[in-house]
Amino acid sequence: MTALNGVVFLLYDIMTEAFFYAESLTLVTFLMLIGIDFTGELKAAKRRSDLKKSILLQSCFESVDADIRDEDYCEMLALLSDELNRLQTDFSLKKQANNDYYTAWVHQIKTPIATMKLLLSQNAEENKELSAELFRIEQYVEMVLSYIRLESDSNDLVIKAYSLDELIRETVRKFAPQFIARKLKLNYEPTNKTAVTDKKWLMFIFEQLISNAIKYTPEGEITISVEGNTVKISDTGIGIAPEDIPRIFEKGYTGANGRLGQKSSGLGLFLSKKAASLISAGISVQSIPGSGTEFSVILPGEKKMQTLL
Amino acid sequence: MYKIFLVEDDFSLADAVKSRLESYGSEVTAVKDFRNVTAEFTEAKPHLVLMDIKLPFKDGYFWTSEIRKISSVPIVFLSSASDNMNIIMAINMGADDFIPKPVDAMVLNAKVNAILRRTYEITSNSQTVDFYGATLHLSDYTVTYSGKRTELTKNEFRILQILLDNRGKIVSRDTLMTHLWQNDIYVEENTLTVNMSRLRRKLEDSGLEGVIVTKPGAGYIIK
Repeated sequence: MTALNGVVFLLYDIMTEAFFYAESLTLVTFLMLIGIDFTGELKAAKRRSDLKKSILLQSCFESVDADIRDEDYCEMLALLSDELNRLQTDFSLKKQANNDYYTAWVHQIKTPIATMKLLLSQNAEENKELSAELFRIEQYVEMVLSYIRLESDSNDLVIKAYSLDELIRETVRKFAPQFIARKLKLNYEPTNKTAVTDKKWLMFIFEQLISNAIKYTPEGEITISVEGNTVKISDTGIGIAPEDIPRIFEKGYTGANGRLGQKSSGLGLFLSKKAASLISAGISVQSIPGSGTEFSVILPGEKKMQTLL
Repeated sequence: MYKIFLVEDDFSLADAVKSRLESYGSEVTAVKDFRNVTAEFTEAKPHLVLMDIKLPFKDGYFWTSEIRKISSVPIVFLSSASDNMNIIMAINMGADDFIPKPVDAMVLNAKVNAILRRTYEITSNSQTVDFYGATLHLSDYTVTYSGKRTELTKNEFRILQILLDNRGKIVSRDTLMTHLWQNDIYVEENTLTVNMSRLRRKLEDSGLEGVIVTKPGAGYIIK
């Protein structure tokens, strides 16, 4: 462009000084325009990034000195934000209604289960198999309740000092018919230790682990031992395949063992892990296929629990 | 005989609880009019109250506080709503224990008996069961027969006690073991066999022959 201008100016015999003067004027104007445009663009970018930050806070107009274009965007954003809020509220209301219904359902179904249990116990010998099946139904029902409680954010913890022996014994009493029917031996030496924890969730974990141990141990023994802060539940069962180990605490993961008999919902260990984190405990597993599995529940140290009290 | 007052609005469950507890030797009165629980309570004069939470008209907490105004009788909650909040609420209202549904007959009976014993027999150590002219002493695990005293181990004592509790009925080995496990005695088949033959020998040595009869393939019975 400048070259073309130069040639035209030269042909009209105009002084080169005039040419350069005109050229430099044009250049300065051009640079000034670019500069103005650029700072405008910068400001707009800053406004947009402010908008981005405030998009969910609904403070679009306050936080930004908006020009007309931005006001339109602001309105659109406000509409979207309203819609998002509405959907979120809607969702949590529906979820709450669902949880309420299933909780009520669990409580309702427990009454007929209780009745059946008592009726069956009138002829305990003849009804042994029915009682065992009813016990399974009872476990599944309990699982629904635990699932709802662990999936919702409601915190229903009662942290107190409990005799670890008593919690373990109470769990074992519950599973006694299963141990006996499967002719499994139980090794357990009382430890006189105290655990500062929530009884319900710790027992939930013990129940899941003992139930699994019984389920996957065709013959042999189950050992419950306490070492320091760790409760170990080990069995002489079929074990867990090494490739399944990393995933057994995932939701819905059943692994080879679960697929084998379709006994597994893939929820027991997932919920146990959740329950464990609720009471600041840890769960780990070691297993040798064909010779057995050992689950460890690592309870938090006394000091840590005191802070929860 | 202890009288138990049952506040449960599910009639089939109320009947089942009643018949189970009565088979263990208690007398059970169930509430009929859920508007007047206190009046029926006063009339029944029970040693213990079993209380559900969800009831028509007023809930179990309400009736517990009403009963507490006039009586210090032990109140045990029996409810499916066994979350921590409900348990705390029940205890705060003056309940003595909380049994979650669905309850096992054995556990229910054991808990009820434990509370009754605690409340009414604090001083008595002399609980005994008589059989064939002999006496089983529950406090010190001994049997006395014609002036002779025989000591039993914990396992032997429990086996004998369970058979006497179910006197006249055949008790299978599995049931016997389940009862023992409920008492935190984790026996297996072999241990049970050994314990049973030792118990029999002790009874025979003290002159009690053929008290425990074996029914092959079914179990044991004390007639």
